[in-house]
Amino acid sequence: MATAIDPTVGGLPLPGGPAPARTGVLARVRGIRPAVALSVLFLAIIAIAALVPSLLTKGNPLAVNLGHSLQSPSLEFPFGTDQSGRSVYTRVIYGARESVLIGLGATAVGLGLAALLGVAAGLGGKWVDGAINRLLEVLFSFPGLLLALFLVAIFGSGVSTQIIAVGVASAPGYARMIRGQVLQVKGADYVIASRALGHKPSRTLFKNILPNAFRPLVVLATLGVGQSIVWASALSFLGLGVAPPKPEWGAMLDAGKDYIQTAWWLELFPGAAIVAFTLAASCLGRYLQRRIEGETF
Amino acid sequence: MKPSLKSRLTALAVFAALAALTAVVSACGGSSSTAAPANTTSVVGVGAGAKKVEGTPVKGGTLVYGTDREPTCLDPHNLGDMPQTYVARQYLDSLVSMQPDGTVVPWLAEKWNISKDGLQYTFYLKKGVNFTDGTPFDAEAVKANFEQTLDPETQSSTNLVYLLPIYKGVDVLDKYTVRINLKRPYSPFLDVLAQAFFGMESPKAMARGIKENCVSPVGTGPFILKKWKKGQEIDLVRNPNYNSPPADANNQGPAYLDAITWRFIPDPSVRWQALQSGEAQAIFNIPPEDFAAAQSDPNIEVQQFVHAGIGHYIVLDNSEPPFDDLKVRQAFNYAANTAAAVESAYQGAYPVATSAISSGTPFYTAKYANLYPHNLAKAEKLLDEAGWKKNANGVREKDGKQLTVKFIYGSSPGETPPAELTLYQNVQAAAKEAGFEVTLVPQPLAQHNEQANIPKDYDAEPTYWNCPTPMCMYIVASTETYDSPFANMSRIKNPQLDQTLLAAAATTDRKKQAALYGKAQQIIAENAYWVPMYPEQTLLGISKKLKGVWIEPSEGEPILSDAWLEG
Amino acid sequence: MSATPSITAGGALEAPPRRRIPGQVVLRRLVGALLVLWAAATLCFAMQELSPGNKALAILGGSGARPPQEQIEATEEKYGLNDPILQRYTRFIGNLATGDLGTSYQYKQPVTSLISEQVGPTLVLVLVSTLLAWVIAVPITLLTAGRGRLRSSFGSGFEAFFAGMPPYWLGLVLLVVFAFELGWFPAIGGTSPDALLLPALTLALPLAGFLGQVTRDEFERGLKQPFAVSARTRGASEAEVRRRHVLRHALLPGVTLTGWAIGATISGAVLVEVIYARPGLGQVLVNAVSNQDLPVVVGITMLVALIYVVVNLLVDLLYVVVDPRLRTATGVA
Repeated sequence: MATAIDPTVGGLPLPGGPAPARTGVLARVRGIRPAVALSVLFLAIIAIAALVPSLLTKGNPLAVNLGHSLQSPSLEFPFGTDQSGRSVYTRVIYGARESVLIGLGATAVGLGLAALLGVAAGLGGKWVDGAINRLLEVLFSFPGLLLALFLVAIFGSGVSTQIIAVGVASAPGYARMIRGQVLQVKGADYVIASRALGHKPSRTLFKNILPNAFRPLVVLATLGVGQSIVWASALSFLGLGVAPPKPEWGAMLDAGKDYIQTAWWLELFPGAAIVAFTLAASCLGRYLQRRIEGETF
Repeated sequence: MKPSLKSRLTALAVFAALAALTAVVSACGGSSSTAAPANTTSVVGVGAGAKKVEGTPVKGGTLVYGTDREPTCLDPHNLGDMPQTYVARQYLDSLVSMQPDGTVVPWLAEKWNISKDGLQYTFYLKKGVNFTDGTPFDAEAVKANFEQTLDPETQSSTNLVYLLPIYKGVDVLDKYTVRINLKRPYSPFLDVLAQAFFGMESPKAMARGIKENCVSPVGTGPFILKKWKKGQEIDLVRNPNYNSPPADANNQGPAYLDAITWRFIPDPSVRWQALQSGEAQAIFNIPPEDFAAAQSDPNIEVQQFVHAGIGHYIVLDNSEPPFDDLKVRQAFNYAANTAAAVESAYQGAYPVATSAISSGTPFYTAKYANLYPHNLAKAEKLLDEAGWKKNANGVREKDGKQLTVKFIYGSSPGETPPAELTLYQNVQAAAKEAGFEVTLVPQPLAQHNEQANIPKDYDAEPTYWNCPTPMCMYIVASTETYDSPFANMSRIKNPQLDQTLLAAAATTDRKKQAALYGKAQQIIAENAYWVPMYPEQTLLGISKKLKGVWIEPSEGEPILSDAWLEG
Repeated sequence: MSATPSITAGGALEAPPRRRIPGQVVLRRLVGALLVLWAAATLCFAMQELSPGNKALAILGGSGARPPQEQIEATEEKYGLNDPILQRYTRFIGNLATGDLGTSYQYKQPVTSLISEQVGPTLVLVLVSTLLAWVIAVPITLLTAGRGRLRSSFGSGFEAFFAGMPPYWLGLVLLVVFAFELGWFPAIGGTSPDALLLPALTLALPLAGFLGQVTRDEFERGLKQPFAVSARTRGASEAEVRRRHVLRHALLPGVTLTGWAIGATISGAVLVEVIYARPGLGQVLVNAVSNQDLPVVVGITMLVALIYVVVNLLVDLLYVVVDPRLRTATGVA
């Protein structure tokens, strides 16, 4: 009863012990599925776009040509052109760098902070745990967007602020999950068994506690990259993202939002890029998760 | 669209300029009593003023009017943001009503006198007018209105601060005669009073204090404010006893409409959709991307009004390099290609501005417009002459310094719409061809409002000014307003310009005014002090079912007391 | 950050051993909630202090103000802006504690009346979209999780698709398709019930995708758990196992997520309210932030903190209802 009412735990429920054998459902999804292959392919293209965009397009994302403004998709401009006559395709390709950087960066910041807080809370004494827990509670009670706006107000807008703002805003969520997992894994049968067998605490920590505690985070982290891009685009929606004329998917969505009826391609392609990226990342993430689940124990 | 700038209300800012009048060039002797418009050569504002309307007015019905921004206080004596004046016009009457040429016709004042020295304005008020709370409108009420605006206890607004320097006092001569005394002559005074910012409110209502008066101000106007549902709408109902329309109104009795739902629809495409689907019968600010569709739609009438004032322009910091050099400023004007930039961003919904003041301003002259059409060769030549040479990256350099332009703008929600951003990027790309490296720097509102007034923190920034008079130039370009925030952001010091404008304010002779204001426009254009972009507009999309709407010229306020809904 | 003082207090409180005395537990929970609110208030205060921009200017008409120096000084005096920080802090906390949220700089109205005018539509939106998210997520999990590759990929594909969708983008798409093109919903419905569905869906679909992903994970894991196996051996039908045993187990992380997603959902509501021109706290908040209307920002933040605390108390109770294991658990930490 006490557990249930205690707000400070709130993590995932105990997975219920060592991993089950690879039977049933899991066995069925172990082979590489077409969706996974497709995801890997898409992510590879995005990686190329982020690293060497000139391989995918010959255009210049900043080349304004007012004679070509707001043209619908054609052979010359596969994704159409924007108000300034720039190729939307070229801008989506070049936009991958900033967008993915923000997504990865924010997730790294969020998870890094969360891992520190979560593990410290889970493994530290009750005192440390309580302190961190209260801090998380307070951060949680703040709307993430407000926290981000506040950081922007202090540090000014830009990519680095966007990364920090989105990362910090997402950290409490991850931290709480990690803490909950650590706490529960700590009390799990196999950990107790490991201790009972006289294993060194460090072995128990690295072999049993951490891998199990971090396991559900794989999904969250892969989703997180997508979510970070989504939230960063919300900041862009509020005009606080990447400074123009640099292309970035969220900023492109913002720039096209008034044209959704007259020039749908401005909104469709960057939006599709975000959705497809998130989809591919989480598909790959889930596949990896299953692999890890199979091998951890 | 731009709270930060619109909120430095235009009207009161005119008084700010007044505050500065040091050299008083009076004695030119104004005409003594004048309600009659003088003949004029000035260009008439586009689309403003009452028009004769076909058809027989029908009584009844509720108009849904969709607009973009919501005011924070419905008493326009506070603050002074544009959305306040648009809605306040529906429930407040002013002393006079402005005409597109800058003259005025009677409204709550039946006639008036201006003393020879231009220091005393005596108003003879309409009799038998009551505020909608039953309080009679009289000289004491006018006095109370000026006093409220000046009362330091109502510090919520900054307006009053700007009245103080020119305003000497008000004398109640008898029940229906009131005299405003000025410290210095100021010929655009009547135009300024025409704005809804100076609408007359019930003294009894004002006495309740700002807190209540912001929510439920009371006027003598054609509509009565019933309820303000914040974030949603303002409900207005007909004033059945309305008997004080301006002389230029078609309808000299109570409004035809039963009620108006003044609906806030910040998203442009939703607003446009609301008009198309018939959920709204009129919308303010047709989105530029839907402007062409609106014009070709047989069920929709488009009314376009170009505001008086400076309009939207790019401030250049004249006090520091690189724009302290006339040739660099001229080169930037030649290179910016604002005509194509505005066209691409606003798709024909906005005309291109090429002069010191907007074409809708009284005493605008086309003589000094379009001095800098797009001309890359001229821009390059001027920059070469100024000693800025192109480097390998196509950016110009001089003494080891690059020709960079830090272009700051407020990036908070609603502050800079996508079209505006397109405009900046177009200018950035065009200027780049001549060798300017323009960096766009979006800033959160609070940070922007500080930096916007610190010249070392910017080389260029977009801004705009609406005023019903060309004296607007004095606000944005005089020595007196050099250090006033949001005024002379271009940091212009030109004694000749100062004197020209002060002389114009001191005469009521329209010919002299035309000559002096013309000269001021010439000085500003020739010095390429800033880059004009496009004028502020009131763009109304009106269902064909709604008849008789027109736009008044002082602030582009929509007049709905003349309007009616057909079956 | 400046929340350090709260850490100590909170930490100290964490120490007492758990005992199953309901009254004591509830009391401790209440004290804990108060501490969270106090720490949130302290964080608000710190944010106020660190925010750039002149406070007196913000009071005197906001960004557009051009008051003279004397007036700025008078305002600083009146509002005690130059008092020592400790004095300002105690005054701030004291006012909050007595329910006085101050007066909006922008609107000149008491913040409490501003909030109470706007809170209804936002709460309705957040509540309906959270429910809707569950209504969408649970059947999809039940119908597709662990039911073979095709169904499973359909379910998880659906979830990933919506979880990765930028809310305002989704909002625009729904608006254009269902309100503009098909005309099924009003474009400007305000608070009318028929205008609620699109905004609620906009918030609910990404949330459903997110909840569904987590629920599916637990669900598939749960299907192989001993309790599921033993239920089957007891002769329970597969449908019964899925619904009565596994689903309960699988809902837990989602329930937790719902609790802490309240802040995020309110953030999302900000954008949705702007797109659909829906009245509510979101618009007021964005407006207040950009115009430095600090009393309103603080007021709304504290309200969200309060909602968060209450919701999470409910979530904890829901835990007991959903997971039978926890009814007998003696504590995990």
